[in-house]
Amino acid sequence: MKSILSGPCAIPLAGAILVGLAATAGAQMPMGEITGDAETGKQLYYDHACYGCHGYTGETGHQMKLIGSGFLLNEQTFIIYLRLRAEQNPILPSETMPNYPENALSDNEAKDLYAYIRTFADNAPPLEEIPTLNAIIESAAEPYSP
Amino acid sequence: MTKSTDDHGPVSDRRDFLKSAAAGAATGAAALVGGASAAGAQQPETVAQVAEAAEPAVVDVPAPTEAQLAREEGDVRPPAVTRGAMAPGSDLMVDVLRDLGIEYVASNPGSSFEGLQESIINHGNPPNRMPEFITALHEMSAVDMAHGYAKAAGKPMVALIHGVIGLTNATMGIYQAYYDQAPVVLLVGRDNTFIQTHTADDIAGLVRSFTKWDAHPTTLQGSFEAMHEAYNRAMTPPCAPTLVVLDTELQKEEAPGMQAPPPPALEVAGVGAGQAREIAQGLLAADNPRINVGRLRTPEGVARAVELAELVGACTSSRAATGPNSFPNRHPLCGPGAVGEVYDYVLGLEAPGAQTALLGPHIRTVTDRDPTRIGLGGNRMMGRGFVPITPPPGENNIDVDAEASLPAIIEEVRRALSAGKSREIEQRSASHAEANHAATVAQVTAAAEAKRAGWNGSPIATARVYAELWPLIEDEDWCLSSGSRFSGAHHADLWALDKPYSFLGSSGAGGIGYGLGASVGAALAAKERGRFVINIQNDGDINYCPGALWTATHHRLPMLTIMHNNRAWHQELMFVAYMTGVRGRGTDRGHIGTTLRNPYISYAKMAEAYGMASEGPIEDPTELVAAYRRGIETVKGGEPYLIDVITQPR
Repeated sequence: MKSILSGPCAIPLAGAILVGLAATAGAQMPMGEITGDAETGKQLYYDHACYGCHGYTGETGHQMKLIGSGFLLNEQTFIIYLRLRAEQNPILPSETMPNYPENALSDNEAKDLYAYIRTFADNAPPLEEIPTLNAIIESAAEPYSP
Repeated sequence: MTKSTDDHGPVSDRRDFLKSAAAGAATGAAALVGGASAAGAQQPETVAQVAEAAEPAVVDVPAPTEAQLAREEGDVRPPAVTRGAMAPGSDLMVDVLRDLGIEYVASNPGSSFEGLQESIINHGNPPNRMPEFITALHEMSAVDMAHGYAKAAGKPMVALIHGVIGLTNATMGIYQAYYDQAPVVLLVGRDNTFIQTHTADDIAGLVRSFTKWDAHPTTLQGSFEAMHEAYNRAMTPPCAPTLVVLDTELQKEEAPGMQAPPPPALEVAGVGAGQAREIAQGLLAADNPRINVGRLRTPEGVARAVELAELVGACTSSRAATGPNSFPNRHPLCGPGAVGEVYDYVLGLEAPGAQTALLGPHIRTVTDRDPTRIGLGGNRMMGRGFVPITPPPGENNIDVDAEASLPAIIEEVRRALSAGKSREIEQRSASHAEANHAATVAQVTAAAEAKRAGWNGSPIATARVYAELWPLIEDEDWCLSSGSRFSGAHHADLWALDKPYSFLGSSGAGGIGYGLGASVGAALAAKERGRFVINIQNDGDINYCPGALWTATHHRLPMLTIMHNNRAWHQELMFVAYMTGVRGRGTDRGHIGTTLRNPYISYAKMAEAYGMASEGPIEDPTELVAAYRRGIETVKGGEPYLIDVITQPR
């Protein structure tokens, strides 16, 4: 499949699309179709160190919020996002999200990765169902005793 | 759960163990020797047979005598005999350390200080107390121990280091203690005749650019004075490591009739009387004064800061979430206060932040260092790295020690305080307390809400690693000894940090390898003070000097180590991953050189190898609390414990 990011106008055009999507994401547009394989994507998520920033399940570190994220709206926006990540040579070390060019992660692999990310769910229990955290709040509410 | 085979049980158990072990070894030796004799008639043919036949010859351990056992326990003086050396100078050096209140000397043995080592372990009554010799398995560990101890106890212990080769091993630890302003006294043995490659004319020159002061005395009296000065200079702000080179000749010099001189008083300059009066008046005249508190020099400074804030009803800031000796973060006066952060007088006490000195004086130690003067440039050009800060225009800085200033300010406040003013302050304090309490509860509630993320996930969320600890320790006397940045620093949001030693902060210079040694040092401080240490230990860090696990076991230190085992030097993984993306190649290869996989390291087994009780790896978050309970019970019983937890990266 030919990359959706080809031709001299691809980057500005894609950028404009992403900006528009990010702006409308709050409207909770319906999420796109999944064509990739989540199992393969799980391995890719590990191999390409996505877990490094987003945690093994997308819930910790820089959390992946499926709802409201324009970048995760569908396969195409996800691929555009991967290709548009920073590609300037930084002077200082950076822990921001890398660029994922096609020769490192093909479109098909990106779709597999996307399929895995779409399995992520917000599994965090409500606060009232976590006794430990409630005990911590109660502890903070107690009178000070040095 | 794995347990050490030698669990350092009660003394009687240990005696029995030693006796039976020796008896068993002797029996085994006899049997094996018999076997070897039999083998003599029939020569071994294979490699295995050769090895089997060769093994027994080295095993012959006589059973220890009662006297030997008593001696090992360290409570019995050596028998009096006629000796060649009757009054070695190193005995007096030990007296000097004792009189300075030095509790521990951490050291990896070296031939340049066997005189001093012998005095530490045999001189004094009882011997090997004040100071006690702490066996370190690496010189960097020894310095890290002294670094952690200094922050936990508010005073120095000693790292005793061998000549050039020991000091080069120790350099990283010294560098970090320097940047962390930790008072550490380094004693370095020098033997100019034994092994030439272990000595140098100017050994201290190796670390001169990141030590505060050094001396190489040439007389015994000079060595006592140098040790006194090393202590006082280390404790004088800006606190930092100091170093004394001790020649073997001085350690072994006979000094009949000589006595160790008493240590001189430590004198640290504070504000003058006029400044103290002015500050007191400023605090009392203000409608809404504030005191910004950074890291004070010792726990005593914290007590005085609390006293002053309560006297004048000032709300305060705190740096307790980033390091030791700051204002208790749940104190009713700690927080923004009742008037919406509009202050008309601000007193800074070693507080960072550009605004501190604009609405009142900022009493501070000169703490900034010019990094260009660290390292060879510092050695060659400018000497040591401390440099004065050039304050921005309009700032009112007083460059003296804040802690030493507080008694005079408190005295002036008390002198000027009227009954009417006291009532006003009481009312203001009550308003602050109410507002700060509400702010604290809101902040903790918001933090708890955020920490739900990944709560039930596996690997275990770092937030849960911290959160599950709090209900188990909130009524205990504990000290979080490890740096926390790489494990999420969740203590800052969830825990009350109300003791000067609640959190000891980071390494100072960001170097890896500090955590375990510093925790052992903190545990040395905790041992005699009825508290225990929590070490949330990064896996990358522990692998630099894991031998400190043995030190904790051998010296029976109350240290609970919880592994933040993300199987990587994770910061570097992210850096390299970013570079692969920038260069558009191999984004699946960032793990090379940054991760600890193939094979994974078992830290429970590592601890077991060093004789420490341990368990794990734990991947199910519901297993954490039970493991923590076992660990806390063990450390409260006076033994270290390690729990290996497989965690999310951050």
